[in-house]
Amino acid sequence: SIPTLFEELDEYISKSSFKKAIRVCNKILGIEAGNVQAFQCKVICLMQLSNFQEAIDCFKKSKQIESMSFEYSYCLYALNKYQESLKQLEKSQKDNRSLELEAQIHYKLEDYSKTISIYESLLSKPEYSDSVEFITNLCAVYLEAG
Amino acid sequence: KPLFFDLAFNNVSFPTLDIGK
Ligand SMILES: [K+]
Repeated sequence: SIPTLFEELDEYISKSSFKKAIRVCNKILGIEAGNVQAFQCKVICLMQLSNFQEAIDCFKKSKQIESMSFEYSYCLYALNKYQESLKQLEKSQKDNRSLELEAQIHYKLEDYSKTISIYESLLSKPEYSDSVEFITNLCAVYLEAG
Repeated sequence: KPLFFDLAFNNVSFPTLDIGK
C-alpha cells in the first residue's frame, strides 16, 4: 500500500540509499502517477546521485517545475546551462537560496561584481554572517575580482 | 583558483514525508 511504501521510502532516504529510494518512488508513481511527494523525492534522489540530466527529463515530463523552481534551476546550473538557469531563477521567488544560486552562477561566469552585490546583501542576514563557508566564498570572489 | 563552496546544493532538500500515519 502507499503508506507502507512511504515508510520504506523514508527509511531509504534516512540511510542515503538513493537508488533504492528511487525504486520505491517509481512503485508509488506506478500506483498513483500524480503523487507529488513521490515525484519530488525521486527528483531530489536523482540530484543526490548527480543524475541531473535525468532529473531535468523528469521535470519536463511533469507539471512540477513551478513548485520546484529552485531545484530545476540547480539542475540547469549543474549541467553548465548557466543562462537557462538564470532565466528560470528570474521567473521564481527571490528567496535566499535562489539568490545564493544566482550569485554562484555569476561567479562561474566570472561576473564577480554581480556575485559581490548579491553576497553583500545576504551578508547582513545572521544565517550568513556566521557561516564559514559563505565567508570563504565571499573571500574567493573578492580575490578573483582583485 | 581560490576555494569556493557549492553552497547552493545545501539547499536541495527532501520534502517532509506524510507517510500516512
Ligand atoms: K525559488
